Amino acid sequence: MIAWPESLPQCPAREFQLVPINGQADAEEQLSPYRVRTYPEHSATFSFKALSTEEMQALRTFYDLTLNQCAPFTAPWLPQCGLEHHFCQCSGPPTIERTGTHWSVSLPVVIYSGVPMDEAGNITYGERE
Amino acid sequence: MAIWPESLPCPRQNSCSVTLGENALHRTMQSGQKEVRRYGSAAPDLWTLNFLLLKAHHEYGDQTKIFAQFYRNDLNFGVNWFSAAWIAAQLGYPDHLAKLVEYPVTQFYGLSYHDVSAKVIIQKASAIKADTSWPVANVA
Repeated sequence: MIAWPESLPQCPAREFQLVPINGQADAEEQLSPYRVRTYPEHSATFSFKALSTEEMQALRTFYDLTLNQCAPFTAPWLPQCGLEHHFCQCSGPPTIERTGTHWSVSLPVVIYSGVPMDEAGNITYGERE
Repeated sequence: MAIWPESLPCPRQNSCSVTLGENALHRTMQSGQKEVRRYGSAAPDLWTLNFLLLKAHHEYGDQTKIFAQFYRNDLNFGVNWFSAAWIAAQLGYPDHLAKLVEYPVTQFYGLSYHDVSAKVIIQKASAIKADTSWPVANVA
């Protein structure tokens, strides 16, 4: 999977919100209780502020060419949010704004869950802490 | 290919916005998850730029007239693509061309200067074909 480049900011502005989506297998089904998923998707918008023109273009090029506007990628700040085995996919083009002498880029993503594994490669899914 | 005149300024830095072109198709599946795939690369980036044009520039004179002539003659009212140094230097696009879409909106400020707001699409030069030219007689 494509990794977030080290040449780009390694952490977005810490003012994003993770909104869980698709948590229920079928919201319309009349079952009690609702079937829920352990790791639902999350939607979020990550903002990167005070970027130079080169950094802004590097981020735009990463979205347009490296990701081809649709490829999933891993992000280094997700484990810090408690999402160790998750990855992202852009849900739309980034929004770019001029703020004074620098640029501010907002990247809308959907965060998916991978398979949680330990260092030996064993699946740790379902273990209780 | 038209070239942005040296007598015209580059866009104002503190008032530009962009809507990036999206070439991805989204499909929502029954589970609620979305399938995303790229379909082509034709969608350009749409920028809204502002230009401050002086009526009496100390070196170039009436920049508003220069811009009007450039828009009418060289750009053929926005039909033709043009190259400009500020596309790379200010916006960071290498090897890209620009094109005005919609008529530029001019805000008059007395007799000193005009504030022109223009929507510009920027696309890779390799994806752009030659300008269309129409045989026009008696063009001043």
